Amino acid sequence: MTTFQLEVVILVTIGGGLTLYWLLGGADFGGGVWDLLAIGPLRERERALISDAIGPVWEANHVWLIFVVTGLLAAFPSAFASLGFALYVPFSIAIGGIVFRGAAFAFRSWGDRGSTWQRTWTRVFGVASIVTPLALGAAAGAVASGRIRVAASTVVAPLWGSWTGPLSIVTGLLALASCAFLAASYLTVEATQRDDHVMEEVFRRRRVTAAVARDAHTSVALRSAVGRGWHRIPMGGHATPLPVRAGRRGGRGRIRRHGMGGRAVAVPHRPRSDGRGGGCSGERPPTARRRLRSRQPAPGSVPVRVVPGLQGERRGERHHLVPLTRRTPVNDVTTVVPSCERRSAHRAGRRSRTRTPEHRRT
Amino acid sequence: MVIIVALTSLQAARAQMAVSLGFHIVFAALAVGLPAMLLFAEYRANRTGDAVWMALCRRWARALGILVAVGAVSGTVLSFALGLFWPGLMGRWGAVIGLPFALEAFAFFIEAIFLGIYLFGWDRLSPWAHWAAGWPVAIGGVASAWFVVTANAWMQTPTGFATVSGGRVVDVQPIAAMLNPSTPVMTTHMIVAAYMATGFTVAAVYAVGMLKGRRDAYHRRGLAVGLVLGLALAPIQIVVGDAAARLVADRQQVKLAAMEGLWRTTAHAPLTIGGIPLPSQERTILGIKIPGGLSWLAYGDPAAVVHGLDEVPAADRPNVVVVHLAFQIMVAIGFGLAALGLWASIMWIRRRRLPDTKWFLRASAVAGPATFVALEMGWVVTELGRQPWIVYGQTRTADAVTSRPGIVFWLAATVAIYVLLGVACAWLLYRLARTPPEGAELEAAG
Repeated sequence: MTTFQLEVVILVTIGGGLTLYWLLGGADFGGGVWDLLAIGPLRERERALISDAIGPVWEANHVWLIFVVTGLLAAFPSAFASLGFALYVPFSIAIGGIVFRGAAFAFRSWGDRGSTWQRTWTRVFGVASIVTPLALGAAAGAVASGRIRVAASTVVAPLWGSWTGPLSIVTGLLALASCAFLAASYLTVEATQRDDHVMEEVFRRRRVTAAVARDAHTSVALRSAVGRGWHRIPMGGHATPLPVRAGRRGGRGRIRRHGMGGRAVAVPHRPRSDGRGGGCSGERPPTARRRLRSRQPAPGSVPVRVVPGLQGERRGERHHLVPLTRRTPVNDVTTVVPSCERRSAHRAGRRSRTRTPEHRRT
Repeated sequence: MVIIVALTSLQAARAQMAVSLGFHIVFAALAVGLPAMLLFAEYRANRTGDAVWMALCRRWARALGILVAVGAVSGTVLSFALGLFWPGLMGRWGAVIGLPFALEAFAFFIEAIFLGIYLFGWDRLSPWAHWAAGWPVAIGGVASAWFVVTANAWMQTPTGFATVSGGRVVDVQPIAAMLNPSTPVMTTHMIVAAYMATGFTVAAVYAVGMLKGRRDAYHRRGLAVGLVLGLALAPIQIVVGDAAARLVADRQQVKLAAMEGLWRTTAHAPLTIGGIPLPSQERTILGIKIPGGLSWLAYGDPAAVVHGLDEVPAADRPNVVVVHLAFQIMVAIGFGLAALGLWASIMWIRRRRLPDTKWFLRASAVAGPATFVALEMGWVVTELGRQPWIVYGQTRTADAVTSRPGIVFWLAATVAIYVLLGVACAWLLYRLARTPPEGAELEAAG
């Protein structure tokens, strides 16, 4: 094997490591982004899911970065030294972010729920998770923009100017958006596996948001990369369909069939004539699932405003299907979509006042 | 802050590395040693079904989780810092010593993957499968330590390359560089030190608990496991340390002279115990001198000639005061730990049980932090003794440092961040240690 080929093989290996770091480690940062953005009544559940999802894997994912750095160091030492010199500031920021992200994530799981300790480290975890992809993305943009030059084996790069150009800003934001997108995608799957349909819906929506942001930045990045020839690039056309696809894909849940812009639709629970409540046997009312398949509000359903605290407490409205918003009151009703098994399990749960999904599972 | 801002770029970069390495080594050492203790405790728990062993194992696993997390992030800082601050080291020598860093990443990979399985797999794996998942963690930790210390050993005794005129490095042989003369002893010295530090630290936690009156089986066993590991290795470490010093005598004579506070080349060189070197007067005062002791220790002959600091100009000498004192502290603690081992052994022979008197427990409680002092001092000797070279005899530290400004801010930020993380981590571990497992936890563990 000639030297040239060997270099290419090593470079591809390191590039593969970097890609894996982005796909795996980047998603962990995205988890931190959603952790920070988690507000509203569902936030503790979101954070719990994020913690559970990245807890066992973030260290292994993080090693991909060490793999890339040490691989670069071993195989391309002068490039490593040049990058360290040119990207001194963004790398420094990224390191700070990495340190705080990892430490804060480890620390926060120890405090009592809602304690100052936990809230502080949760905040740190989130902020560090935003700062790191921004800085690393900006560094990547600096390399791509050609603002780092090597002249006569000396690196010529301003301390600040090389990584604060328009392309760097866009790639930084792109990195952040793609991390958030990856995290939301993984978390959707994670929630599906746990049968937590509320979280599934929450992160599916976040995924769409992140995909829009990501593709917007991709468009701008491409535009700023190629200058004025923007609309001649065939790739450009993909920017629009992508988020749409992202939004529709992966749907086996029932709530999501509702679509993004759907109105809040209440499906009235119709008690059976014998007074035992609606059931699955006999002449059962059309389930919400079937109605939603048609993507049409059920005949007779009415748009309702969900009143926090009242939901599910009035008899006859127990199985309302409501699209999730930040203001949706969180109680068990929203997690249970009426279907045969679930409904009975739900009723059993109600009687014993143990209504969390965890209890239902066991 | 005023002091920090007044530092030159080189001083700031060196201080930054010192702080980063000094912080990282604490977590790295515990992450190397603790998995072995976990394996032992879990083995006993699985064999006997004893809840106390399982409780110990679970506790240590929780501590390991946080230690590895902080160790991993502080290690990442170091891998970046090598490129950020020392382009003269990595640019020129990266091809020679890059390999162990890359291999270290692989070793850490294995460690991190199986650590995830280990820490989160208690309920998902069978007891023995879970135990087996601990092995790659323990082996990966030791392998990481070995690879990284290999790179440092190369900086002490660089081999595996040739230089041509103009200082260009050619004929690079990374494997030969990894297997440089310092590698065997330095890696052994460090890995043994990591196990000792872990053993004594764990023992210290339980010794404090017992001093507070908690003399149950949980505390006794925790103390015993830690102490036995640490005390068994203490005499071995003295032998390994002696080998390390002989190697320095062969390969880095200026460093040996600084360690021993020996200013002039002399036959029948005395061994100075304690003492304060005075660079202005080029002599070491207040030490106990054993005639011919140094010659005998270094070369096995009381009449041998030992090279002193006067063989090189003052600019080529390390900071003699710091190196000498650090070396004395490390050796003193090493012998102190060995003495503690002797005490425990004698009591064991006479009474068939480890002593649990107040003074023995107090000594054990002090031994934990003392081991870490010794560990840090050992690295101070290794690194400061190497100065003014970053690659011994090849590249000066001053030539390797970056020309970028603002390292002082890095240093200030590093100090602030590590103080914060150190305090937070210490507080968590303190909380963990302070609350012994309740009866329910012991039963649940079983």
